[in-house]
Formats: sequence, structure tokens, C-alpha cells
Amino acid sequence: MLELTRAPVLEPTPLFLGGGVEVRALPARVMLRVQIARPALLNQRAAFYAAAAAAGLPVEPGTTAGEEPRAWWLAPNGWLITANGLAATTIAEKLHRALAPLAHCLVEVSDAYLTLELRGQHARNLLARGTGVELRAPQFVPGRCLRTRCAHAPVLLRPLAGSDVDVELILDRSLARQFCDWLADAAVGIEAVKLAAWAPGAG
Amino acid sequence: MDIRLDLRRDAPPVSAGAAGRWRLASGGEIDRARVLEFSWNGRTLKGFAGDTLASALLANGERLIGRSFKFHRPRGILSAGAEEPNALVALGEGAALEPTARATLVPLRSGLAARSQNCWPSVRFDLGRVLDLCAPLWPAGFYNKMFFWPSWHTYEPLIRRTAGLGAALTDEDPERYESLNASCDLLIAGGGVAGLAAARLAARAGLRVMLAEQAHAFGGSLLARDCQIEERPGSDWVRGVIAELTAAANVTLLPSTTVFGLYDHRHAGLLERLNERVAAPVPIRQRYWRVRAASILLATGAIEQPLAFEHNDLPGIMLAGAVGEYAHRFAVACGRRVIFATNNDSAYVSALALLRAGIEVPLLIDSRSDPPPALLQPLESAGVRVRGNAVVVSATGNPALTTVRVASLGASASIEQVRCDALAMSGGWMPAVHLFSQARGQLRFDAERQCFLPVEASAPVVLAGALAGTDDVSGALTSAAQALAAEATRLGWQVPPATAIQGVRETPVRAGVGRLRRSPFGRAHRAWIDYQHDVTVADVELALREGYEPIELLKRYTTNGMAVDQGKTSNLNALLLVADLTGREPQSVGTTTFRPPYTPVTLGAIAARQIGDHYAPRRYLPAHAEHEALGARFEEAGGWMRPSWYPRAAETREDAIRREVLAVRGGVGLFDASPLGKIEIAGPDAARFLDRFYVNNVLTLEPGKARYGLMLDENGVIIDDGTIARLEAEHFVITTTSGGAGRIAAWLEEWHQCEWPDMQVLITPVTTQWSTVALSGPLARTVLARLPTDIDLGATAFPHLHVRCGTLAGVPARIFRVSFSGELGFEINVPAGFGASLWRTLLDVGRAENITPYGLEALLVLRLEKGFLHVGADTDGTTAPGDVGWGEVAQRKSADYIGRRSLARSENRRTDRLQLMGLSSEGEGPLVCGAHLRFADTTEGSDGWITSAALSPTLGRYVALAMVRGGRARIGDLVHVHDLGKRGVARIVDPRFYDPKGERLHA
Repeated sequence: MLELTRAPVLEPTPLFLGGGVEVRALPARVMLRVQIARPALLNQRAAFYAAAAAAGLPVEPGTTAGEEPRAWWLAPNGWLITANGLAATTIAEKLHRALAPLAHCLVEVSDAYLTLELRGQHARNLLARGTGVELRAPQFVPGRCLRTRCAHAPVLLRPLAGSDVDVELILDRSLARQFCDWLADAAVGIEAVKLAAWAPGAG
Repeated sequence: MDIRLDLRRDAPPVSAGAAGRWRLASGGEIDRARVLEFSWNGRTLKGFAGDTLASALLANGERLIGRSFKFHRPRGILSAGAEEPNALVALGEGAALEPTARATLVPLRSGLAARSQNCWPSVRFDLGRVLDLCAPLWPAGFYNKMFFWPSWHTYEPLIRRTAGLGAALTDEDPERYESLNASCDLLIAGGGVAGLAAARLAARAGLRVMLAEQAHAFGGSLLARDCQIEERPGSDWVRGVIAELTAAANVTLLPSTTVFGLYDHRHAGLLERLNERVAAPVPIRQRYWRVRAASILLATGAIEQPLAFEHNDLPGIMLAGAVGEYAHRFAVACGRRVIFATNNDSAYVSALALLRAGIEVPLLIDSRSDPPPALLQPLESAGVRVRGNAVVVSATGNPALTTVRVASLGASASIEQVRCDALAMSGGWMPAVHLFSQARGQLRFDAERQCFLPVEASAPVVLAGALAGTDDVSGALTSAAQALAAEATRLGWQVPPATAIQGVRETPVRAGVGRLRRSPFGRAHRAWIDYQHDVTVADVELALREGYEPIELLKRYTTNGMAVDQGKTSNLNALLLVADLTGREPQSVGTTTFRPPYTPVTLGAIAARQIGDHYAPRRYLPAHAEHEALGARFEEAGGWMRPSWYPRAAETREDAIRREVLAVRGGVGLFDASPLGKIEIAGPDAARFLDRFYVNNVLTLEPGKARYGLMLDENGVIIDDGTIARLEAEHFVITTTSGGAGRIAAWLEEWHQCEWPDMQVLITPVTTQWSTVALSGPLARTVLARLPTDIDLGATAFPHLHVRCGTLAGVPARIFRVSFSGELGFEINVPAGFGASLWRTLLDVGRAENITPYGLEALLVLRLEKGFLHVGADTDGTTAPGDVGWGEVAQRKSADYIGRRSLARSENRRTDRLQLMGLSSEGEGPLVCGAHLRFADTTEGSDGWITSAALSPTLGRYVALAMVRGGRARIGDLVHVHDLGKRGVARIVDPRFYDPKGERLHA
């Protein structure tokens, strides 16, 4: 019986870059794009927020909710669901139930994206080579996520808990190769950059 | 501060030591233990660590540094900072060449190779000097008045060769540049006394601070003069503050870094010249910082202005503050006998610095009649003759200054000749308002200081030091604390109130500046205003006579302030001269516009690492490695790296494409179509929504079916095409051109969000979720059927233009019966992770049928043989549906759609529009894409052009698609084909060259 096999976008071997930054490609995981039709009228908003809350979808812009699965805010009516252990169908059934009163759609995009973890003292400085978005506290702390363009690639970022510097990054699979090449190039000399550190309690 | 002079009359003021015969025997912020060798115009010279190239050249007695832009006049060092207009030198050689570097900003390093620019054969004997001998021929705007006969272009090559200062690189720049984004609470531009004081206060308050100083050493004017802060010499105080800031984790110190641009929302552009770092050099030349700051403090200081008199550009004539700085900071004598000329008090301080260093100052000329009593006495007691109410008439010397002629104002007194080897001049100070003006700040003329000052709070920045209107160290320190306090209030920072800095001692100066900057004596056409662009007083007078009175016009006519120094030492003098000559107040004359960059920025730094492979986004296919293994040649198309053709053994490109085309026509071929744009549209209004975008009817499309669709913009111009497939009643998948995937998704979103927000539609781009393989050819079904699937692939169950969802070889699949080759075709979509596996598996199971991978080139030949449209290649920004044979469909549709209204315009109804037609070669020559067409009866102009062309392997002749004027009415006519001087003949035919009835598609 002929069966197709899935190949990873990048080998899971971690890349060790300049400045001690470690980049690791995570194994493929479930990703679902969730959208709810926007409430066109004011009196439809309550139902919209109620459905989003029932489905565990954060309505605060730039935030995430939950861990397994985790819901990432992408747009006022759009989210990305990521999960490592749950099946797509299990997540989808639950979401369909919660969102049933409203027009909505779930599209599996597990194969469209690659997740990278960047760890190390200079991980965020490295990304700052390619994006102007604020990657430090208090704007960028666990529980928040942001979308930006980094070195030509649209990316979705989330700070990893337990560290001030480690970041989870999701990007389109087709750009992964160039992006990782860019990371390696951008890491050259990154340790020589001293950025003004955030002093807690100041400002 | 007591002004006491301790004159060194007992020792020679200059030494004949290792690092220059003009070096003072002691003093200076230089490390005399570290001698650095460098080369200047091929000669080896020596300097000390801590020198700039300029100070080292002066220490070695090098006075002639370069030649001027227009007249090739000999020029020497004028200043000690970023404003330097004359000492522009070339550093390095070959690919490492850096042209037009300001010698005043280049820190000396061992092995530095520098040379003069804009001279031939040498700086001492420059043939270009002949231009100065006939200077009256080249007044302001001469190029607007001459060179009319026979044509400007006759002279242009010579003028272009002559113009310019340095030479640009011709080789690829081997240096590494990088860019970095950063944010901070407080960005301080300027590391002088005000900037340092503000940085220390902010750092102690825990703010994130970035401090940028354009020179390689912090300290600004503190390095140039005697003063004390907190009971310490100024330079010690600087070292102490820098040590504290270096140790603070919340401070980024950026020496050799220029804040060159201020943009909206407190976004600043900084250029860090890492190659100028004295300590710990890094293999990066420059770094471009994009900084977003909550607050920006400008402490950029002030720039001393020159005086205008005859031959005021001779080497040896320098700014007084610079002469003082070279003596105090670098222990360099700019002359052995130095005369001062001034209209303000600051030159007196510089003269005192020289006297302390043991340099002879025989004369100080002040155009004012009230020299400062407190400064007058110590100078006179040191033997300096101070002459008030007097000005310089002219200077002479060849190539450097030897004599100055002096006369009193308002009297017919005789002219005094004074021998000297340096003249230190001061025409007052102009605060460096450039960044403030870039931030849209307003300026006001300060009559007392005879300069423009910022109008506070007219720009979203705060000011300290000279920009805040202070004239001394105490004022700078106070203004820094005040600026920080103001920002703390605005931003809610917890900054403790600053305590006044104690122990400040400095030479007191008055703020007042005399109005006179231009000597009333001497020849105006030999008195320079803009050194770098060779603009004279006479040029300004001429421009005014010719009516160029508005300062912006005058600037452009005379080119004053338009050189690379952007008029840092000329703008103010020019507009004060205009005020004098026209009898207006300087405020009403106004200033020209300051724009970024403040100082030149290397293009390499702006590009940074976005070069080579990182110039643009580059996408890779899921099966890229499979294509590489097959030896594919790749090309970039729509941002994707795509197989172009797959050569076998020694096959040529043409042979490979021909083989691939014939394999598809006669057997089966495999094409990686993954970049095809894919967008899912779902929701109760999905059909109605899509129907508004396509020329074709979407409402009548049944689930399970697909349809070709043409998309227009509001002007009725074709912007994309693809397939519309209805998976379920409220679920569609549309495909777009590969390059249009992102653009069309955004187009749909924009219309939904802005125009039809009430429609219940959900748009999801899924291009890279699916890997797409096109299996094409008469044997395509045979090969596909070898994979296990729950989809009935039979011709009846699954006809052309249908879509089926199911599983294929164990994974979810969407299969479309569509074809861009004109043969029986299946577009097979599986989740992208399985793309490589699908590619390998199909090659494997199709081995018996000699399945052939084909690339983009073969695909384009296949579609050309069928006359299928390639949007973007066959169409342009004017092409309407009627031009490509879709006029009837567009007209027949009853519902409205984007672009429909525009199709009714008379222009779109003309019958002589360019129409897409086929061309069949009637001669031997090839048909070439881009060739122009002309009908037999046309005498001039073009009747169209070829948009796609190929030698058809199937038909054995050249075929082409072409936009032909009124083409459909001319089927069968011959046209002349013109291609870069070659001529040919072709016949206009129906564009469907192969299988015009489409029977093979339905196999």
C-alpha cells in the first residue's frame, strides 16, 4: 500500500549562532486558523464576544490564551490555534460547538507554518536586526503575542515563559530556509551590541 | 574663573618630535607613548593615539589638503568637527576606498592611508587650477546661461568628468554593514557637556538611555577649552561621566555615531561608524540604527561661522574655536604666528588658549568697537595688540597664508599688512538646528547672537546646551536638567529633582555677536561664502540682481549650501548677506529647509544586509530538494525559487524545454505548481461576495465544479486570473497567479472590510498549506490511478473543470481537473508536508510511462501553444477583458462586478484597441518577445508588440502572442516585425495554435 510520508520543513537539529543564540525548529504540530464573521451591527457584538469567550479565544489584541491548545490573537475576528498533543479534529469539534451560533470557519494550516524557538541572551537583539517592533517589557511579556515582518518574512512572535529573552516564532514554511540563513548572517557580531537594558521599576 | 596666563616663553613651543614638527611639547588629550604611522599622499607620517587625521596632518605641517570643487583652489583644514567643508580626503584604495571623508572626524589609526581629492596630477600642482584663472567665466548659474549651442549634451560628458569631489567605488564594496532597531526612553543627540549631564541624570533615574556623539570622543566643547566642572578639569569630568555611563546596564553609549535624521513619531536614524572605533575594532564598517525613543533630547551644540573677506579660503585661515581646540586637545599649533579676527568674545578665549600653549598671537582684530574688558586685559598684558572696529581686508599667500591686510572701519585709514602663518576667525556661532528643523521645529532670529535659535516646543523634542540658547558650561548643565525635568513631567518618569552641578569654573563670555561678517573691503568675487561649492559674495550679489531673492531660489541658483556639508558654515552667512544686501531683517529672509541626512550616510549602511540572497523574500518549494536532486535549473518567479527546466546529461536549455513539452503532449509530465495562490472563501455570503470580483458568473457554479475566472480592478483592467472551485455551497477555493497570491488576498480583504463589511464572508489564504503537483498529458490518469484513492478518477465521474476532495495515498487531497498545458490534467493538492513525498511517488509510479518532470519554461511554451493567457506577461496596466477575447462574457453577466462600470467607457469600446492575437512566423527568423509590429500601410509608430513567443516543439515553427491594434479585424493579415534593427514578417492568426477546440482537455 502506497502511503505518502511527511517531511519536516527543517531538520530538528538546533542551530547555534553567533552570540550564543540557539535556534531550534519544533516538530510539526496542529495549527488551525479560526475566524468568526464580524458583527456588522452593534447589537450583534454581545453574541460575538460570548462565542469567542466560550471558545477560549482572547479578544484583547496581541494576547494569547490557554496553553494546550493555545489561541493567538491575530485580528479582531481571527485567531491561530496551536496544539502539540491534541488532534485537529478534537479541537475543531470543540470550537464548532462553541461558535455554532455564528458564521465561522476553521481551516487547518498545520503545514503552512514552521515554529522556531530562539533562545539565548541575544535572541531578541537578533530579531531586532529585522524588525522595528518593541520586543521588550512591558510591551512584550508572556501572555502577549505580536505579528510583524522580520527580514522580509511575516512572523508571529510570543515570549517564552521563564526567560526575558527567549522567543517562539511562527513563520511561513516557504520562507523558513531564507529566514534561517538570515538569522545566521544577522547573528554575526550580535554579541558586540549593547542595548540599553530595561531597569525594572524605572520610567 | 580667574584668567591667568602661564606663558611658556622659556621653551620652544613646538617640538621636532616623532609625531610632527608642529606638535606642542606638552599638553593635549593624546597618548604620546603610542606613535601611529599613517600615509598621506604616499608619504609616511606619524601622529599620536588620540589624534584625528586632521590634527595629525596639522602637526606634520600639512596645510594644503585638497582642491576646491569648482575652481580647484588650494584648501586647508578649516574646522575641527563635522562641519568641515575643505579637508575632504580619500581613505583606502580599490574596493576599500572611502571617498570624501572629513579628516576632522577620522580618528588616526596605524596604517591609515589617506590622500587628497579633486586634483591632478597632485594636490600641489593641479592642472584644474586653470579654472580659477578664468573664474569670471563661471559665475553663479553659469551652466544655466552657457552650453546652449549646439546642445548641452555636447558639453555634458566633460562637465560630468570635471564635476564632483571624490571618486565613487567601482568594485563591489567588501565591507560589512548592518542595521539594528532599538527603542529607549531617552535618545540624546550630542555627547557634549549638556548631553553627558542629561545622560547621567537619566541613567541614575533608571531610564533606558542612548547617547550618540558624532565624534569618536565624548566631551564636545569641553575637549577644546579650559574649564572645570565639579572641581575637576573638564576632560576629567568627561572621563568620569563616561565611566559611570559605561558601567550602567541601562545606557547605550554610541561614539562615532551621528543622529542624521529625525522622522515622525520620534523615530531617529543613526549611523554608527564602527571602523572609527579606537578600542576593540569590529569587522563591521557601519551600523544603521533605527531608534524609536519615547523622548529625544537634542544637545547638538553650535557651529562656528567664518568671516567673509578676500581670499578667506587660503590654507592657514581657520575657525578660531578649531585653532583653540587643536592647541588644547591635540597639542598642535596651527601656526607659529597666529592672528585672530572676530566679531564676538569666543575668539578671545581661543587666543588665550594659544597663549597658554606658548604660541605667538601678535594681533586680534575685532569688528566691534567694544572688546570685552575682562578678556582684553590678559591679552594685552601678554603682548597681544587688540584692534577694535577693524576688519580683515584680504589675505595673501601661495598656496598658504603669509600676510593679512587689516583696515579700520568707517575711516579712510591706511591698510596695515601683518605677516602671519595662521588666521583664526570667528563670525559667531550657529546652533546645529538641523535635527530640530527636520522635526518640523520653527526657528527665530536672535539679534543679540546674530543666529537662528529654535522656538521651544515647536517640535516634539527637547533641547539643551547651545540649542536652548545657552552660551557657557553652566547654562548647558542647567538646560540639560530642565529638559529632562520637562520630559519627566510629560511622560510620568520618576526622576528625582536634579541638584545643581557645583564647582563650575570657566572663562566668562558675553552672548553678543557683532553684525558684521563680511568685510566691506576687498573683491567680492574672491570672498568665499560656501567653501565646498565655491560660492562667493559676488555670486550672492549676482543672484539678487537677477531676481533670485527668495532664499530657497537663491540657494538653488548659487548652489550655496548644497554641497555634502549642506551649508553648515555657509547657510547663515549667505542669508545674513541677503538680509544686508536687500535691507531686510534676517527673520523675514528665513532659512532654507534642513532635510535628512545631517551628514552623508553610506548607501551600504542603508542597504545593510539586505543584499545578495537577502535582497528580497525568496520562497522555497516543499519539494525543492527533489528538484535539486533532478538537476533542475532554478529561476526566481513571483518570489519563489522554481525549477525552470531539468536538463539531462549535456542537454542545452532549448533541448530540455523541447523534450519536456513533447513529453507532456505525448505521454505524461509532472510540474510543481505549489506557488499557485490558494485562498479559501467561506460563509453564507461567499458566492455573492466572489461574484462581485469576477467577470465570470460565480453564482451558477455548482458544488464540485470549477471555473476559470478573470478579475478586474475598478478601472476594468485585468489584475489576475485563476480557478474558482466550489467545494460546498458556502465554501470556495480560488486560485490566483503565483505572484498574485498575497496581493489578491489583501484585495479581497480590503473590499470586504471597507466596502461590504455586512457580508458574512471569511477569507483564509492557504497557498503554502498545500503542495500542488500538476500531472499533465494523455497518460496522466493512468499514472494517478496507481495511487490508492477514494476519488473516482474516471472521465465521466470526474470531468474537466471539476474538483474532488478525498484521500490520496493515505493523506487528505484536493484534486482539480484543470489544465494550463492543454492536455488532460490533474492538479493534485496535498498538505505541504507531504509534497516532497508526493513528487517522489508520482515519479516512481509513472516510470513505465516515462513520466517527465517539466519546468516553468516548458509550461509557458505549452500554454502559449494553446493561446492561454498569462496575466502580467500578455497583459499590462491597460488590458481589459475585451482585449483578450473575454468581452462577450464580461458583457453578458447580469450581476454587477468590480470594473464593470469602467468597461462601458468609450475608450474601452473602441475597436482599434490593442487585442491579444496569435502570430505565426512567415519567415525564417525567430519571433522575439518585445518586438514591435507595424502594418504594411503604417508609416510611423507601432501597431503593437509581441508579449510571448517561442519555437513550438509541437508545431515545429515560431508562434507568438501579441497585442495588435484592432487585431481581431485583421486576422490573416501580414505584419512587419521589428526587433532591435532586425525585420521579419508574421501573419496574424487566432491565438489558439494547438487543439483549438480543446478536445484533449476533456480526455
